[in-house]
Amino acid sequence: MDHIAVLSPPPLRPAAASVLAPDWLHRSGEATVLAALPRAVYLHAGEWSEVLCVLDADALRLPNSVVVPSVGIGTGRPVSTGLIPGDAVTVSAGRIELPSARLEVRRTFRPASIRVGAAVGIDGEAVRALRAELRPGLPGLADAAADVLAALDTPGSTDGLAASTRALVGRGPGLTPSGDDVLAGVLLGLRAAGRIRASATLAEAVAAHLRATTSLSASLLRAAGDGWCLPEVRALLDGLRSGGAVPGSTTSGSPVAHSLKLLDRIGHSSGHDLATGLLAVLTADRGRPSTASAPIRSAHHRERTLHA
Amino acid sequence: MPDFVDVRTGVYFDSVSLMQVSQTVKRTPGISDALIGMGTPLNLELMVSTGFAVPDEAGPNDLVVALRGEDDAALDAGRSGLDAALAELRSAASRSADLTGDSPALTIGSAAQRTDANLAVISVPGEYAAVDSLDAIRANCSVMLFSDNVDVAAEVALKDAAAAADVLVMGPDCGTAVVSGAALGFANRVRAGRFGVVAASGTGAQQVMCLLEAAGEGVSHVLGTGGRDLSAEVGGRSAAQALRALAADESTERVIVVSKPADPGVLAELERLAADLGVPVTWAALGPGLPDLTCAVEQALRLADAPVPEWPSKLAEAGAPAAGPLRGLFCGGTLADEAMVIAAEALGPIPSNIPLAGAPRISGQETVDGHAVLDFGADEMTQGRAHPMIDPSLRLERIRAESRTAGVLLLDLVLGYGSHPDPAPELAAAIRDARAQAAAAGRELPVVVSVIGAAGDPQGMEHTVSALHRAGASVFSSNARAVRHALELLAHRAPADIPQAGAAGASAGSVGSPPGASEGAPGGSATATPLETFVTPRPEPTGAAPLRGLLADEPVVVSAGVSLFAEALAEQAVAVTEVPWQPPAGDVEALVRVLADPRREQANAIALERMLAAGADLVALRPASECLGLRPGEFLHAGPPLEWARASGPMRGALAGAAVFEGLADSLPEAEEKLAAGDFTFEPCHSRDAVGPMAGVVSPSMWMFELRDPAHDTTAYCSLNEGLGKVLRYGANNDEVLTRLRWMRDVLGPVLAEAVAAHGPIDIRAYISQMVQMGDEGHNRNRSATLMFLRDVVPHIARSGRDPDDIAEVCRFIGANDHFALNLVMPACKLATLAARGVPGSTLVTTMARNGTDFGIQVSGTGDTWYTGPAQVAEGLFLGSFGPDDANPDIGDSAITETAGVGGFAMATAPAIVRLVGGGVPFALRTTRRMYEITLGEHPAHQIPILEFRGVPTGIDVTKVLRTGVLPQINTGMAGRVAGVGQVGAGLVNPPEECFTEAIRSLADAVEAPSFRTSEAPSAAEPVG
Repeated sequence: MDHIAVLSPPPLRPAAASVLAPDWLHRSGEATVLAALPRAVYLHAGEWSEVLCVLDADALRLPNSVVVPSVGIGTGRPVSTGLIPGDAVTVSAGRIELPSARLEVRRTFRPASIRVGAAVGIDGEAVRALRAELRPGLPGLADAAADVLAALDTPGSTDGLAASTRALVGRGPGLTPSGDDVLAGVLLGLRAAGRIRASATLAEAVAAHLRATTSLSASLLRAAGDGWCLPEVRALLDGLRSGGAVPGSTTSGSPVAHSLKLLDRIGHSSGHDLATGLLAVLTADRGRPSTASAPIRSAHHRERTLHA
Repeated sequence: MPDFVDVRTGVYFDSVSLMQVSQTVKRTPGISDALIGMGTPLNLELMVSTGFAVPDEAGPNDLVVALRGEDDAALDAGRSGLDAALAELRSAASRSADLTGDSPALTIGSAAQRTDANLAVISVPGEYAAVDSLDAIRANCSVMLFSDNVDVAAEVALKDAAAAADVLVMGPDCGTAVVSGAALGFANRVRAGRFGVVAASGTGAQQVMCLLEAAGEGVSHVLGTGGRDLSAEVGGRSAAQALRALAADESTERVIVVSKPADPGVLAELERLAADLGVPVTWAALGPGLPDLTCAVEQALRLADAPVPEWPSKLAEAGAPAAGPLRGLFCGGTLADEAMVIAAEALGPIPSNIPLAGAPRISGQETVDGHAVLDFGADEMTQGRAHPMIDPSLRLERIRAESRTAGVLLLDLVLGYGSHPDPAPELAAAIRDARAQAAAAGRELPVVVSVIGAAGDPQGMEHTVSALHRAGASVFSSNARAVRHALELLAHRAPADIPQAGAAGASAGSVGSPPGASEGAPGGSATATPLETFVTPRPEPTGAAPLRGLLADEPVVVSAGVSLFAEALAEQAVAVTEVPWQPPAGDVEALVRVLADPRREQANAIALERMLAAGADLVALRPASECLGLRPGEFLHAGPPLEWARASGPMRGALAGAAVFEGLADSLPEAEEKLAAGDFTFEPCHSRDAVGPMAGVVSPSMWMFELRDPAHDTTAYCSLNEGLGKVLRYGANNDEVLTRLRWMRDVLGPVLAEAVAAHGPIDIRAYISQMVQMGDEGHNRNRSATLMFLRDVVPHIARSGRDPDDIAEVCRFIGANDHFALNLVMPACKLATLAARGVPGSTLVTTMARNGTDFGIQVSGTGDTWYTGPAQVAEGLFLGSFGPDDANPDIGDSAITETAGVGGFAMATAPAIVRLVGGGVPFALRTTRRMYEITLGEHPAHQIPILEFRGVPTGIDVTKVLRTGVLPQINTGMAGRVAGVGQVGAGLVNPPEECFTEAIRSLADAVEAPSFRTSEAPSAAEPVG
């Protein structure tokens, strides 16, 4: 680790870990800094997709994260202070030693998730209106999403699914390539539409290609496969379901404008790419609840719940 | 005495800063006079009148310094002091100051809005709790209401309001909850799991939580309802909401409802609801003939196909059989209840300070014979001390005292967040002592302790259990088991578990049948086989999550009251903002009544909207006789109604001067006589929709600006500003004043009237929007608007065809008076407040005005009623040699500017003004930020650049003033106490609190509904519908 001049030991700060935090958080060892951003540090250790995002209070709330809440009026030093990619950070039994603070996990939380069947009652008009305003990061993404859905709908088309998936994983620049964001959107969309089996099939297909993309993106894809998402994405669905009226919101302006505002908060184009995938499912399906009997809680969902 | 006069060219500081410098220099010992200012005619005049010899070449762009010292040495000291002060001014400008000027949120609602909170923890004294709870509910937060002493009517009103907003009230008197992994109040660190708990009892919930943990299970959420929720009056309102929320919660599979004996009707309703929701519920309601809490948990485990463990315990070595009475000394009321219920089976009704029905009441302080169970958390035991879970000293004393007489000591110890950080050592010591004392007297004193805790609790479960066991106690994780063991020790057969846990599913109090149904049928039969009730699968949850997603989202908390709650949450890495709470001023009952008024929110929204939409166009000038209908002998004045006898110097001076001006008296003394005799009448400017600065005296011949609000078709008026120095509005009334007034009547007024008519309507509201972005705030700084006005009218004045000397004099007159536009800004603000007048139920302040004796306010919801209190003397800087004793109490209608959101409220946009009372730019920012805490909204057009164009805080809310203790901030000029002296300084002032405390009482009287019931709440009629 690069040393920075430290006049006193960094303060101890309580932190909350999501249930998706990788196991290595609770063991002893070192993690590598993948990225040090203004309000977040991405750490990696163990398997390719075992990434932990250490977030300041006002950062985008990625699902596989440890969050450091603000302290009174001030927010303390940003978690990324004194870190650059490639640095090693000591982790032991729920404690993370950063130059700016010694974090101690005191609580676990369940990140935002898409409920199975959450798209029931969604306003088709609102979906179409929003879809027309999306600005995906790459051309042709909506078509690629459609290809994936077509492959899922064609029984026995494992090759077709593999091909259409492979065409998206890792495609595009940035820490979370556009193709990955679209796939994540499709996974979440399938879940919202109640198509659990399709979602599981796609997740499996995606899992085969995780090494074709960044560790961070791989971790987010896995999370999406289980229905975990950003609060903004869930808010987007809530907004679409209530015809654009966002409960408790004081912003005036069209529902589409409000949805776009949510998406603009997510990365450079990631929000729009996610929505491209999500809405591809909803416009194909329009929230028809699954005819297959899907248990409300899948087996690995409960697993996530108990191992808090 | 030596003088020093100096002229420095090209040194520019504004007059306010210079006032501060001269103040500093004047304080130098030996300096008798210091006048420092730009060489304007007025400033030079002042210096000359003080006896300084001022050089002729000094002009308005030069800094003129005049010092007088007792001797040369003092004068030198003064000059050095001056140089230092000027240097300080320059350097402060270049230093990068802290520009955040942050100001904390002062109310629960404000904090909730800033942080997007979804939960408020309120632990303020009970009589105030409804105020903050309502605020939280309106901000869409669920509430954990720890406060007790909240009456039933208030509880019902709060819960109805909460249901309407789709949030949950946990309380009153709720000290335990777990929401989305965050432990609130007194709660144990239990693993996440599939059981949801709805609890009308705190320690009861803790016992259930800890048993679940010991069984390898966990909790999804523990939702408190407050101890009275399941009564007939409250009807289970919170319990029903909690059940619905848990049924829709993905991580909750089964629910346990914990309470003390509850109304059977309410339980039956909840039972029906649970069946409809399809969520399996186990009822753990304590009472005679009902299963204890441990039994209920075992039942719940069995129904969930989970193994029932041997509840952990650690027995002390068996000793001689005990002889003597049972003495239960408890911290948890429910645990004491449980003990009494179980023990009563074997021992008959147990005397207690919280006796069950039919048992004798004893005082917790007295010594007793025979069996007794005491709750050390009851009110009589916690007078002037903290709850025993935090401060165990009283119980420890009693434990030692019991060594003499007790047969068996039965204790509870509740661990977890909020409780004493390490109670084991002291408790162990007390146990050891008690046993040793008994042994010394030849007796065996067995001690049985139930430790309610979980492995993850901060106190350390293992450490606690070992310490107690080593001291000779038998330790149990189940309170019920502990009680039974104690009874066994007393050589009584342990009463059968009621009903026996082994009975094949059919048992009273089991799933599917309310406990009430089986009363009188001990070990009775179930009304339905439990398992059958839940063949219907739980419906898939659709639509938005209940309680606005409280159970699915991260908890974001705001807290008011006891700091330890906020601290405990911060320790758990929960985002929490603590609000600096103070008791609201005035009559709390009136405040609550007004806050609960269902009309209020919408009424305020309407009043504010009108205020913000009001325009202000200068359309004409007319004499007061014409536009205000003022007849000879009639006058108007600033502020609320006033009698001559109580009028201050400047007011009297102004009225007398006006009377002479109108030719109604030949001399000032004659005028005063007639005024005192009542020959003339005078009433507030406000009564005719007019405003006047300082004394604000209006007489029939005076020309008035006439401004019109096109949005609401109303008109407001204001006289013309005479300028600075000796003027009528400061009570001066000599020949100079009268001459000027005549010139204004004969020349200024008519010329401006023509110019405005030629120009067409002038948008004054637009002036205000521009001036606040140019460093002026509209009350004490008006230069930019004055010049904007001049710019608009000069072309028309020039073309008027009037005498060139008149034209020149009019232009010079306006241009030389930086405050000329004050008399345009004020009526523009008056129009805004007029628009908001008279909305029933609104608590928005529509007028703030002073007459030099009283300060008066008017409120939208009560129309033209004045609420008055004594006008205060401003704090600030003084001109020349004046001091605080020279200043008159606050005077003028100019506070209408603050009422409309500018003036002192916009101080952040005019930071130079802060040099009136010391402090720097952060003070200005903080002041404006504080004003946001007491206003209803922000102005869309009047924006403050440095706050990133945030609109000025507009619409003072009486309820927020009382709750925060923050009074509206006014910037003002100070008039001399003695009529005719003129302006003596400028500073900051507030209205007296009385205005607002009076207003709230009146507003409360005007609330329509006699009771608290909110008519709009859908669940008002159906508590569990």
